[in-house]
Amino acid sequence: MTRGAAARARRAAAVVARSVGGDPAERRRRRLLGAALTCCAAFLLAAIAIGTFGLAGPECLRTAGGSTVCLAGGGGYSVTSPPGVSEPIDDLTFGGRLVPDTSGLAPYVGESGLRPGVVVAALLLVVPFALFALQVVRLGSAARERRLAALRLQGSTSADLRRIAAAEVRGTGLVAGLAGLPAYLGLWLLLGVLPPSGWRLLPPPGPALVIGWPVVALLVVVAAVLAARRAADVGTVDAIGLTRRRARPLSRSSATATGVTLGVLLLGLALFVLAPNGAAAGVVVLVLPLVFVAAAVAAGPWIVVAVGRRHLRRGSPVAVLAGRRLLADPRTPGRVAGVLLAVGLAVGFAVSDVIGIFLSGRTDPYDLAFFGGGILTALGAIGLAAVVAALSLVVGAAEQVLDARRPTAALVALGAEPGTVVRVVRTQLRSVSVLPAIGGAIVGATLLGGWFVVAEGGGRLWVMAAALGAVVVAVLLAGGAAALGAAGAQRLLRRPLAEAMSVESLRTA
Amino acid sequence: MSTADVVLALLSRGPAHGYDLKRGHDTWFDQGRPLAFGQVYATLARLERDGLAAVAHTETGGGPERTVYEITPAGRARLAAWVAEPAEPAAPGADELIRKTVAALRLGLDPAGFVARQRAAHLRRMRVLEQTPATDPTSRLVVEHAVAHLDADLRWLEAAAGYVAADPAADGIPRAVAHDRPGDRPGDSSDDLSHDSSDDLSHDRSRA
Amino acid sequence: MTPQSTSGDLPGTPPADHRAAADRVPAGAVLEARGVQHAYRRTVALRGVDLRVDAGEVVAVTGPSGCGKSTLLHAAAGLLVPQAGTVTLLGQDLAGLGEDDRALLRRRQVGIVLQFGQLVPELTAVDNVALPLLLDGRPADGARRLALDWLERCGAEDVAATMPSDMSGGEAQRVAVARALVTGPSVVFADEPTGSLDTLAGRQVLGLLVAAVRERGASLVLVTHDNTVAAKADREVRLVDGTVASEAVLR
Repeated sequence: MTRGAAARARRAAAVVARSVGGDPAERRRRRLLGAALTCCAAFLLAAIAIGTFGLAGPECLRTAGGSTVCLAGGGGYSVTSPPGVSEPIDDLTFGGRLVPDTSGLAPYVGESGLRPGVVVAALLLVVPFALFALQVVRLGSAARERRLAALRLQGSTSADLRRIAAAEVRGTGLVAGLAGLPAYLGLWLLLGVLPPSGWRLLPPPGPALVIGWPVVALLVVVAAVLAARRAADVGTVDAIGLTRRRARPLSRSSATATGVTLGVLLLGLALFVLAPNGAAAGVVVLVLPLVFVAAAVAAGPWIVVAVGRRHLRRGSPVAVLAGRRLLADPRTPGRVAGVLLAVGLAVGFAVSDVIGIFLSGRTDPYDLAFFGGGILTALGAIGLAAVVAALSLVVGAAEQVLDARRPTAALVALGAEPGTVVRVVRTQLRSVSVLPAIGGAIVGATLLGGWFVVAEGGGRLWVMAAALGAVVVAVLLAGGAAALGAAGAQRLLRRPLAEAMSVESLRTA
Repeated sequence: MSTADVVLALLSRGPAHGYDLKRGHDTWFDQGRPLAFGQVYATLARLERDGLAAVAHTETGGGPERTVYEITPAGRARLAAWVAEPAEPAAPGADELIRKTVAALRLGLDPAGFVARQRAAHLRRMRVLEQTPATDPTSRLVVEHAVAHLDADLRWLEAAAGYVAADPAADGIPRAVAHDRPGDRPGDSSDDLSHDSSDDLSHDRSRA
Repeated sequence: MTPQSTSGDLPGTPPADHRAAADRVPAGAVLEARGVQHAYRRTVALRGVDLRVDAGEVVAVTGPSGCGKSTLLHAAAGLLVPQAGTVTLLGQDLAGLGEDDRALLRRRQVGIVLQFGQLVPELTAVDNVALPLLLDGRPADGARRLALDWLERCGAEDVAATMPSDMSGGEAQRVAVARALVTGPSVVFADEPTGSLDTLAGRQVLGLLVAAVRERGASLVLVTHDNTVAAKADREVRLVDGTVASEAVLR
């Protein structure tokens, strides 16, 4: 293709994308996509802000008495005390914490040694939003497939289709990427200004954000365009304009990817267990959670397949229908299941970690606030991830329901009570939410609790009891939250479901 | 359908006497009117006169004497030409159905009732034809042809009723006809009834 | 039904006469719809329609597109509650039944065949046919056996293990017919059952449906705009613009 032809094709794609944008469903899709991508950008900026905090200025300590001790360049330190205070400062043995002076940040954000962990947490929070965005990119598949088929019939090549798909999200991606900064500032007001001193999670905006902003915006646009181009490669759209929805079973390559991710995870775990204090362990501890989430997301579809097969074996029509629907496209709900598996794992870890606090024998209120605050913050972040995952679930399930409106209406016509159809959807939702969350919680709580019992419990009976208790609490917490999320999702699905079941759906194609 | 051509076609299968030909005809067209013996012999005589068929021999065994005919080369040529020539599509206006429909619709003689009665008659005939068991493949074809024609008639009838309903002037067009009915002027009461109802119909349809 | 229309001489019975006559309800009516009216947001579909179907009767509801025939079928099968009028199906006043009870009635005694797209896309043919039985709590093995049996009777045993997306239109309709008949319904509603098929496939599917219904002595309501389909019926009810334009006994 010549340069002129390529430019013409690009212009044509932009025109098609713009005219499609007038469709209300497409507008809704772009709004949702924009919101998800904005959140991605905001959390990326948060990671940058936290990661770069303190690099510019000296790190200071605040003592219990109110004096500020700042590390000087040559290894020494300078002390500034309020008037009338005189404290003995002896090397780092005082009862203070390393806190950059003016911020009032939470200790695990303020201390340079713990900060990378918080950066990793911020990056992990990008995952559910990114998956949500991916879901939205694939949204409106039926309508989009018809559109793509119509375009193909009129002579569009598959390259044209990819170009159009890219053009459809490029503008949205750019706006969302740029909106990341205002969104981050809003987040900062919420988490970095409003909380009391010592509980603040985000540092004041620094110069790093100015550089990070365009980088993040570009990253968001590129990721959105790549995802959209892949989504346009639907094998179901052929040149004669027929679209036939087919089951998309998991392929060998996705099995390989899952295997590799799990392998990396096991390797990391082994490294960590074999050399818990080695130099590599520090890096592993930071990378491990990322690999953990990646492994969970990769394993999600396989979990869905396993659950779907189990439903089939149960044989009741509701279970069979739910199972078949899960097996028809395990990827989309699988990613959500993966996130919720990770959420469950994190809940398990967080709950069991309480045992660690008691094992360390700390009673100092500051210490308890430090650990307790960390666990509470972690649970908050986990909750956010769970809510976003539940929203992905709603979006995906609504799509499937509306896609299948004619067969759904026919099912009711055939004599299925509306309640039966609702139960099918409920079974589907619960299978991909409650089960993985509970599974993750059991594994997480057992792993960490087991570690405490074996390595640090020293045969103390209460450790064993606490570990068991932690498993129960984690299961209740994760399972309850997931069940709540599934129930909420079902509530949000009530309208599309009723619409699909109405007799008017028989009139649609 | 020309009987001579059909008899020629039947004769082309091999020498046959009149009764064979009648039976053959009635098997081919088992839904149609049976061929009369008189017609068979008259046709054979004509074919012989024109040199398209010839007497092969005369059977005398047992019963009455029977003449067996065979097709001549000229007859074969004629048969080939007949089959090769496409049938004349039905001439417009020749059909009784068309004549009645045009009259009923133009004169406004209860056109809705006419259409409904004609429709019922056609459907009944179709139903009978559909229920006829197929004796052999070609007899099924003859049935299918009849059904397809009846279906075409029905669709045409529906369209015709639609035109009348959509065109309020339909009754007013033929002045000569209006003259035939004393006192039939536009807006006249006797015509108004069908007039209005067809008007309503068109309105509703455009709304639906 | 007026005497004239029974004799078949005057099929164009005016709706008013018809309604008055319909007050005499003889025994054996499978379906009795009276004065059914229904309007959608932008269009009036039915303007007071009466429809009576006797046991063992095959009735064709015909008319041009948009005449309200599908709406009439939906109301008769209890898929929608008409805004006015009553529908009595198998002795039950549908307005008095809840959604679930109507579903139960359909599942046990009513079969439904639509033009296309009625099979559950995630289920194989045999599971689709077994579905009404499974929904009714029948054991899976027996349900599947019966489903296979019906697929065979409908000439669709070759696609028993096939997904709907991999079937031809004719195969899908055969499966749909098997699914409508598997429960042994007293009445079958078919909405343009051959509408998406070519002539030959359509004729086969229709022949199958009519023969199976007649064999059982069940009733069939055929909604169609195709005259050759209507010619299979014992009686034709023709709708134009939401009212009964004519009625004719074809038997």
